[in-house]
Amino acid sequence: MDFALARTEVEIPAFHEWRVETSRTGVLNIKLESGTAEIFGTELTSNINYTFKESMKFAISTYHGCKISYTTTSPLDLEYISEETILKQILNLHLSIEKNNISNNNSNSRILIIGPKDSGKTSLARTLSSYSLKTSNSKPILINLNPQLSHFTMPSQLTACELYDSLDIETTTFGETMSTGPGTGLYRSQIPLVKNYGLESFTENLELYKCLINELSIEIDNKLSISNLKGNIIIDTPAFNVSNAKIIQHIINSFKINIILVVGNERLLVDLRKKLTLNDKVHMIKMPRSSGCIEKEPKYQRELQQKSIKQYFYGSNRCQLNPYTLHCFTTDFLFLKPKELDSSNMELMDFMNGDADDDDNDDDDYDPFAGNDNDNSKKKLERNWKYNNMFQIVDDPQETDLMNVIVSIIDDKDLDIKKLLSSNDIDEKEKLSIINKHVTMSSVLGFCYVSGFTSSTKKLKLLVPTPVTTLPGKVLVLTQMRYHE
Amino acid sequence: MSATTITAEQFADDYYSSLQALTFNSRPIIESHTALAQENSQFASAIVSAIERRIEKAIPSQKLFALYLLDSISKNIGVPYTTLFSHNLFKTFTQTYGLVDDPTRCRLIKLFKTWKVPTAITGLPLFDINQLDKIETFLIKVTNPSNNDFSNANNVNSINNNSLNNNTINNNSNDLNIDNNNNNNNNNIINNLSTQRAPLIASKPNLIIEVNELILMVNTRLQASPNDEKGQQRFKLLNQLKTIIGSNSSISQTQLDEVAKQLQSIRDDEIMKLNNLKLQQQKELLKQQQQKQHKDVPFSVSQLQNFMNMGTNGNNSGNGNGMPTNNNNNNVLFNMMNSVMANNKPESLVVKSPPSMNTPPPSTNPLGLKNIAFLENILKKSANGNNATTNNSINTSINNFTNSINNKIDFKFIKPTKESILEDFVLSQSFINNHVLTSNEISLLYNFKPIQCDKCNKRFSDNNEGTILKKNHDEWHQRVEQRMKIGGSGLGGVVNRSWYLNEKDWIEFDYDLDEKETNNNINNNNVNNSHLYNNNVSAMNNNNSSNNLTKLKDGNVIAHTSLKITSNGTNDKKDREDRNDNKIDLSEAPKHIVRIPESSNNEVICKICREMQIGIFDEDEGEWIWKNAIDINGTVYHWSCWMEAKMRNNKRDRSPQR
Ligand SMILES: [Zn+2]
Ligand SMILES: [Zn+2]
Repeated sequence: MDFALARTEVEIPAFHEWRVETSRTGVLNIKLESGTAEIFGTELTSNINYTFKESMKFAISTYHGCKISYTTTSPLDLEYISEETILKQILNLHLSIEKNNISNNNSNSRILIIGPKDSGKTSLARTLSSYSLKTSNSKPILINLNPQLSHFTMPSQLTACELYDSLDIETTTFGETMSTGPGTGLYRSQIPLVKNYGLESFTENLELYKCLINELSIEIDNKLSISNLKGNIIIDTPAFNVSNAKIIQHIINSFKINIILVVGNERLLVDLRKKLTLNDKVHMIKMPRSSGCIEKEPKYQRELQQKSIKQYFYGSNRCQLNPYTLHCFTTDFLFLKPKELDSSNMELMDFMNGDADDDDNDDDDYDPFAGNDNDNSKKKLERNWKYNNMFQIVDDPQETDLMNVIVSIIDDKDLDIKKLLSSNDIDEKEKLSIINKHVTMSSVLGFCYVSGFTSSTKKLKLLVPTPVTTLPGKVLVLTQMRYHE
Repeated sequence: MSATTITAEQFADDYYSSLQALTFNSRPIIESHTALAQENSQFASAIVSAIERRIEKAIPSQKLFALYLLDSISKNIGVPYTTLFSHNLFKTFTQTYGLVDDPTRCRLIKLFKTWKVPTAITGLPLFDINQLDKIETFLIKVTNPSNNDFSNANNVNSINNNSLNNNTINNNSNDLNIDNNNNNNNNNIINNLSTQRAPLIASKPNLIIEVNELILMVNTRLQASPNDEKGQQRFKLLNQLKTIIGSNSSISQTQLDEVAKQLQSIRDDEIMKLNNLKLQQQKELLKQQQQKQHKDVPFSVSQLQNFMNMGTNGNNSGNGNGMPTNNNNNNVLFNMMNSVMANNKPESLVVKSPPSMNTPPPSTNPLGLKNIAFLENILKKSANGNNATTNNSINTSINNFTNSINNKIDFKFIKPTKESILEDFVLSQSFINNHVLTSNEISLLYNFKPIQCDKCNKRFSDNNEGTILKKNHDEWHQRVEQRMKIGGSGLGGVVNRSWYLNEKDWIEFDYDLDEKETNNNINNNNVNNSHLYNNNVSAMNNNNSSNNLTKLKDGNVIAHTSLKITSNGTNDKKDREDRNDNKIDLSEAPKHIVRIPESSNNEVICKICREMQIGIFDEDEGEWIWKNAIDINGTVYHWSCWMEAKMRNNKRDRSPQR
């Protein structure tokens, strides 16, 4: 009888937050009525009606107090105001980092966030990135090293993104990337650098994971070396624990980390202090876990991943996209697949990666404040990786390899893949090594989804984001990700 | 070194060579050389020549420090040095100005301003008035934005004349391009005048000069807003401070330094207040302008500050109202301030200003100020904000905040620079756990970039750089809205995700540069120059460029779809017949199609907006086409872009500057 949805008002006192979980089917519409408010650091404005759908879980927090109003098409799964927030600590942290930058001749900070699963690492990374945009003139670079997450892209990838705008709070991918259309109309499109890992857990191929981290850090250094205003680097990570000290050390050395934030676990901080070799200028700070952190059930995690894959092809609410179907043949491409190495046993992994770790130790006397990037990248440019342990070639892929698989398209314009494969001068092992080196040094141009395969004709039906007659690369990596339309 | 046994020439040589040490801003060196000059005033002309020589010969980055020495000697000793320096002052100053970088220029201008303030002893400016006037004329000329106004309708004349008409607007937006960097820099200089000051040597005379200047600033403000109690109190306090510093009692250097610091924050505060006035004004004018459907931001901080500083430093100490002599400027400033102040509801002031802000604690007797420590205390209080209300008195805090948002006046003015607000911050565990945030600190999140986009949440600084970014941002919104209207990329709503940039392009990608280039491109591209396009397009067609620069520009697609009504070309002979077509009917766009030739690639770059046009299959006709496209001599553009450019072409006869 009453078609207009009732508008509910919520007053949030200063330093409190309103925690919300929308229902699976409902549409929540929020408007800021007065005061200041933010979601993970992204400031809300009263000029926009924000829409949240499909089990979004978030909190609106405020430093001044605010009033919001909302409508929802079905009751919220959860909704309460909490006074147990870590707003104070986060802003103290952020402003201290700014101060530290000023004291270091207006340099930038390189921040690594470590913590257990669901401790709020991503929220912290988002908030610090958004605050950087608000209180400095430089653009922060947000890096995701957790292949389970889908910052700006699909899961199974590692990304770096220089932020121009605040992060989009309505999508789980933090924003849309460029399209042929006007985008969301609210934010400029994000321009991520995407590196193909292809697996969901960093432990499944540590050599590849570490190599990609190193490549990312080189690209970041190159980017920073040509920008006048160097923004903070903020790195989100998977749930590392103390047994991952070596990989953490590798990240610290590669990115020349000067601030390590350990979220929600005092013990981890103490243990890491013992295990890590740190320059005395590296700050290690413990951040509390917010009581608002929710445990992400594996099922919810899956849903988020599926959502981000769907978003890649079809866009989001504010930016609807049209994918196309491309027909081609498997013989047009070189298919690769990341090796899945069983590494639940970390000691074994450490043993297997012994050489690479020795290389790391050479880096220990590196001083992140010595400044001169060139010297260090020279060192990193000696790529002594075990390239045979990363991707394997999938000759003549079959239906089980292909169906419903998400495929990464690798930029291969510097590599004549046909020529390489047909060469008689290079043995197979060497070829694989060259290919792997190339793939790890290149970035991902996009993804397609295998929606059909006929094994007799090797005919492939691909869902592609843009209407092309050929894909922009001939090297395709079959990721662990599956998608069902 | 005994003065009696050496000649002036020898002394000057020694003096000159010891000046080689003045490679950085060193108070000890400047003080010792000032003392030397004082003790050896019989060699005054030789010393003056030595210093002038040093200023001339030093590398540009070090010239300033020699000028500081000139300043120190003149202010601390006076005659005969002031007279001697006066001879070549114009030459010394302007030659230096011509060779140094912008930050140094700012400091030079600041330095110059202190010279114009009458000295306590003579009541006259430090140096010969004719020389100073010449320098002032020079500075006005080189820093005057109206010479080549770059982004806003913010030159004095245009406002005086109320010339907010199409001509002005078009010109100004046209001017936003790289060629105008120099002008931007000049504007920046003015803008930075008040914040980037040469470090003040905290001597008694210098402090008095500073206090005088601040008194004039406050006074000027009070002229516009006589009921501002806090302003009155500050005025009183500063006068008391002047008396104390001017008295014979000795004040330790530490205390003087401390006072200097406090004065700096009062200065910053005064400047902030002006910014706030200006902000309000800007908003208002913007509103007016939007009603008139104009797009440019009308008035800039730098303008006002320029007024303000010229006014307070200028020849006004006699009448004490601190206003510029130019009557027109005078009126503009007053009108502006009055209109702003009229909107400033008194109760909001009470609510927003923490009680201790400018007011001495009620228990103290301001007239009884005798010792400097007490004074420091008061000054400190006047510069520090209150702690944030972190209690749950939600209504109060919401109301307070709403008020401050609505009025946007005092909100950010307490301790203005980020550096000063963060002075006590430490990156340490205990600080992060325990520090209680003050309202100043929290407001950094909002006031470091106080200008917020109406359409999204993006924030911008209130300096020139921020104004430019905001302008680019606004244009981006306009383009996006336009595109939302025509539906996607003009393809009837069909929008696709683009490929990601490869690592090389990603490394090189720069949002701001990208904007700038696009603006230039849109402005400079002459659509008649079709051979250029043909070249470019064939380069693009020479495909597998999908990952190179094409891709990079694809990144702009969202931002850069044409429909910008500006141009600065000179060729406007043709196409007059379309003159009355002020609007393109964008709903027509999808009807304009170009069949894709067999030989051609499916993708082609529209060289006007630089967006990729992607072919689609037309089921009805059974062929591949580009929608919203037009083929001009073999070059394919978006139809909407082409029409737009054509229209623009006809409009470009009103650019008096070019
Ligand atoms: Zn905006
Ligand atoms: Zn176009």
